[in-house]
Amino acid sequence: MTTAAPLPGTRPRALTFGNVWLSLALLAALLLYPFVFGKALNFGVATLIFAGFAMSWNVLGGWAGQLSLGHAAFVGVGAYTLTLLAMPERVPAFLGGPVAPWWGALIGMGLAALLAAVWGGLTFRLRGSYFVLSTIAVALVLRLVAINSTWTGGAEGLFMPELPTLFGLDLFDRRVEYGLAFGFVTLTLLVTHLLRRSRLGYALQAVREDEDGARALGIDPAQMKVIAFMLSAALTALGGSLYAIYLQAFEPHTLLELPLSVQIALMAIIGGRASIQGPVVGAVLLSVFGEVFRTLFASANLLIYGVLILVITLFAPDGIMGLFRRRGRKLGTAR
Amino acid sequence: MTTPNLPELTEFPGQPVRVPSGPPLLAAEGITVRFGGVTAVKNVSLAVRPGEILGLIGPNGAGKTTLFNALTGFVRPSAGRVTFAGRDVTRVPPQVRARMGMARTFQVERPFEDLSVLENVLVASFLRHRGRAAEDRAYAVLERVGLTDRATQPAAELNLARRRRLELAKALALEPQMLFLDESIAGLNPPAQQEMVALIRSLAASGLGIVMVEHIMHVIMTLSDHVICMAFGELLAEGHPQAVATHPDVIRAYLGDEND
Repeated sequence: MTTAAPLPGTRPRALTFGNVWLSLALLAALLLYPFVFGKALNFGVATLIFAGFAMSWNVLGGWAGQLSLGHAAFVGVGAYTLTLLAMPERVPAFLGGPVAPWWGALIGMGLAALLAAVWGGLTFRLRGSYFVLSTIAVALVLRLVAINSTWTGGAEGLFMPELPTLFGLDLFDRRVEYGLAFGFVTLTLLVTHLLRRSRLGYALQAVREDEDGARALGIDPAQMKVIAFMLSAALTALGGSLYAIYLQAFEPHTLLELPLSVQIALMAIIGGRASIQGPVVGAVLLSVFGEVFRTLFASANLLIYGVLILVITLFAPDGIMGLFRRRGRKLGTAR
Repeated sequence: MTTPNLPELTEFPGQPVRVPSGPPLLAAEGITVRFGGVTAVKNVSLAVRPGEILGLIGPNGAGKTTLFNALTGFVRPSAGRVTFAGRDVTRVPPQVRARMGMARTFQVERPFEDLSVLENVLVASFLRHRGRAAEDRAYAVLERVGLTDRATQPAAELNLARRRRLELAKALALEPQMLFLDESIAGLNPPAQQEMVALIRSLAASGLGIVMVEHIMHVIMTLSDHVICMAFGELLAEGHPQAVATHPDVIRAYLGDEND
């Protein structure tokens, strides 16, 4: 079917922010959650933080197409930075005293971006599975450092000290944490929508699709991947800071381990890497299923969880959101 | 900048014709590419002026694509020098060459399959424009190559002829001074070939320097101002298309001789 040349004014647009309404609908639903499930705020906060992690991961894994199984490292950088800087015994008064958590979170983002720049600069020449392996290794190194250093609290980890209030709000109040986590998810969605419409976003997609093809169009793949990695790392670290406040006490074993990295990646992949909101959907679904299975099947829950992931990857290789998109394509609509 | 020495044009009887005049836009001197022990391209020199079409022919395995890759930066020559607009670009990576004004297509066309046709071209037009201006520019290029009716279609769904046109559109959206076409015409049906030939001719007329690798003899003969024939990595003959086509060595390379 060859259609006639489009009339003036009906010319198709490529530069759009994507499906903003879907994001707004998702956010509205998330905003309603505390009013409906006020007693399950713990679960809500954790789910939102993971949704933000998965969105952050997707900047690198989905847009630039670089699979990372080391994002726990950035969660750790964010969590440790905020906590250590907030401890009066680590930052004595003559150094200026404990750092407010919001500044700590910003510093954590900077450190994570720096780590990503160095790490990406070293490892992006590796292709495919070798890059994935290197991401595992870096997270492992950080974990060893955290366990074997006294200043990081060693294997016992850290306890969150008293934190100043934010505009009079207690940061350890679950409702406040829910609001912050909601803000974190909103930020990651905003960044992704901006990416969808930007030169950077298209350059990242070009690199994902074909590096030599991208080079022929004046795009430097190594540079683009490092930028994506830094952005992804900084956002993840911001979530990591929040996660530390939520946990109040954490150890290297929970924050810097491979399972956390895998979980973040899985949420994004199962939700749909190619869709803007996919990682949020994946995080919500996997969190809900994880919780339901834990109560229903007791110790068999991990088995069922694993089978579910297998089924989704088999029947929806492009993720949950990919199911909708494929149907949309058959109708002839562009994304 | 002094004009680099141009390669000798005639090594055989024939009338070399150079339509455009002036200093070359692209010059390659003594390009040699070795892969391990194999010499894929041996001591080839060439020059292209603005508005000139240089045809590169030769049997399979002659080293055309390797030479092409050396000119565009995807392969680093073991010896020799490539200059573009007076600058030595031998060690300049392809993405920087693209920014300088050298654009190429790929023999095995490689669209960004998950992106729409318009988005594919948009990636390229972002090199010189920002925001809506880039999108307008991308759409204008699609109009020029006749792909506007496919603008929203995923590039993966295009047929071969349209993929070729998309390759060309992406290269043109870079607004280059120099265009490298790697078999843009082979595999197209005759009407599509005619369209492509007309398009390439109009591009040269607008002042672009063009290097094209092509298999189809009559296409290269009608389009080129100047032809280089390669065999076994070496320059076999060079000059006016007709002269190259009738050169005994060229005929032997393509058809073999009595001893084969």
